[in-house]
Amino acid sequence: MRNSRQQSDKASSAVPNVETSLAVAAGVLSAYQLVRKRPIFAAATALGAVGLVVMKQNAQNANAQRRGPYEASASFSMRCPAEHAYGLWRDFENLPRFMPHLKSVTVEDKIHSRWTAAGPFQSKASWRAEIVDEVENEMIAWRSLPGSLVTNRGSIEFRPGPREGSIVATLHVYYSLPGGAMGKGFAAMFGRHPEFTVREDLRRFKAFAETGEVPTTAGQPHGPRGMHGHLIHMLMRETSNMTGPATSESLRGAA
Amino acid sequence: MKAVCWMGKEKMQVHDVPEPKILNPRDAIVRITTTCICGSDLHLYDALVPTLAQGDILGHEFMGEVVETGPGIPAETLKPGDRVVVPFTIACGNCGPCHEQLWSLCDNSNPNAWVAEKLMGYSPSGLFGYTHMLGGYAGGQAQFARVPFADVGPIKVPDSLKDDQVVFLSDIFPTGYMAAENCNIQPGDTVAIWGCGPVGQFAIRSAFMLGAGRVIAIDDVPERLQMARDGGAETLNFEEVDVLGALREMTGNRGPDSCLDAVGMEAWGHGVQFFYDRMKQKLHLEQDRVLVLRQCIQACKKGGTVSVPGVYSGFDDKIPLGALMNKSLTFKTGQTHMMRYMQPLLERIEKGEIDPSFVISHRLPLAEAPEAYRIFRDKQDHCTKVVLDPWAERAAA
Repeated sequence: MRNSRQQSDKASSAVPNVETSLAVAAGVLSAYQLVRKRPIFAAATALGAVGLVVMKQNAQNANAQRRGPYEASASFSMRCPAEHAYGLWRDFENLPRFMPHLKSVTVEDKIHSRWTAAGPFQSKASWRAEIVDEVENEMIAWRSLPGSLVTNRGSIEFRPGPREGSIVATLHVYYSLPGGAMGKGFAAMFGRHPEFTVREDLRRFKAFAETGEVPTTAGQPHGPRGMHGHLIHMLMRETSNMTGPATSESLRGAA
Repeated sequence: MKAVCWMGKEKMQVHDVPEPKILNPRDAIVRITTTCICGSDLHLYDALVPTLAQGDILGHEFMGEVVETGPGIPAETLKPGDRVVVPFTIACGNCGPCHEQLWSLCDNSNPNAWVAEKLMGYSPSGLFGYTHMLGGYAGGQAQFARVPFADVGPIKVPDSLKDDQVVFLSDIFPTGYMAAENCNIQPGDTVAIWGCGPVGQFAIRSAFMLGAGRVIAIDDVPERLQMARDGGAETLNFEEVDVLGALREMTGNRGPDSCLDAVGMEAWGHGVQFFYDRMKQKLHLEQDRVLVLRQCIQACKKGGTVSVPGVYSGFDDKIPLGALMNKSLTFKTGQTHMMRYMQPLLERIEKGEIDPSFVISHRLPLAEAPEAYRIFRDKQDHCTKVVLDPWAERAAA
């Protein structure tokens, strides 16, 4: 079976991706430098842009070649009691505060919950999940109910850390769609690189558990961005700063 | 509100931008009364530090009046009306590094930590107005600023002290002090300090506070060397003498007990080394000009300490690791762990031990910041330190 992720990545899209923006920006910048009679810098810009695109494509290809599910894990050490971290995670309605791909999680009863993921252009995916295993202050494991469109499994573990007062949290996450297809829409919602998304989700959870909030600059003032500014800002913001539900929710009362 | 924005290399512009808002529960909004240009801002002006975006508001040395606090700040800690100095590093107070007083290494204040991790392994704390790799926070060369974790950073200052006397608690005074402390000064020690800019000036005075017997200060700008002598230092002009030879003679072929690099990545010099570093930096093959760092390693006595408050950003060439290793040198570095020092240094100011305003050479309205950057960078007009008033009207031409 052809790797459908590679195919769908090559499909044209109305949304300009990073490579296109970078190519356009580099082209304009090179042209500008040529006009200003700085051929060396024009060449350097073009080469640099090509290099970045090649690196990104290589990374994507490496990722795409891992056929099948979207799966990763990450570990972070934290300075808080295991009970505190466990309690925050156990209330699944908190998850969107540090997992930006989740629009909402509604707890239905002791073990059931409804999850909704959100992507660009009002795209949504929703499924119900259940807690399959838990050990208080140590571990929670959950999975989407059989028959859900999105298959999701995950677990979080808390173990004592090397220093007094510290713990180590380890998050495993698994996502897949029917037939193993990881299309562009899925990537738009959950991010292209599971290792990155899972690590950043856990980093945000660490901040949330230790400080009661997730660091952000989304919504702060700035001067006119121009193409260069927008590009840098997008490259940073694409994968780290949160917008949307988590930011506004974090304002509803201190943790 | 008006804010100084980075619009490109050597292109600072004052723009009208929206006022900042509370974004997180532990934020506060400060109405800025005095803000400054730092030597490290000049590296941004010269576009030598990566991940700046056009439109970024710069500035990390500011103070003013709290006008709003988020729901997570108790009134006993901070409330509207409080007059505060804000540290340039942002720290949560709860993570491992903060708990160990390593405030400039906070785990939770850099939303772009993943970027810094790619370059450095792990990320230091977020800073105000200092590239997206270090958080991308809007800076304080503006009329208002949003201050995250306002229950940890800002310190309250008494009305009896003027802005000019306390604003440098935001960065350069604690930076010079920590740099001197990092020299591990034993009573009577000889400390050599490269760089007589504002950080160097505070390092000189701090070294004496910490028991140094002799401070030798190195620069080439006459008024800065004079300012160093006013602080008790002996001076060397690197344009006129061979610094390494002079230090050898002055210390009986032993070398200074500690060497302090208060210059950083835009070091000036002459000869092959300077040409090499400058060429490579222009071609973006090397991020920093490390002339001074090399000299510190060479000049330092065996078993001595090299203290590095000077800002460096990347990967650099020709570091004399052979000398470093074989002479048993200790390196102490870091962005300033501000919250350790602000209160104790405020007390020294209150007691009259030091009036930090001596470094100020220019007081200008915020509107003249673009020109001020150029004057400061080119060391024109006897410029040592620029403080800006965000609310003053532009002076008549």
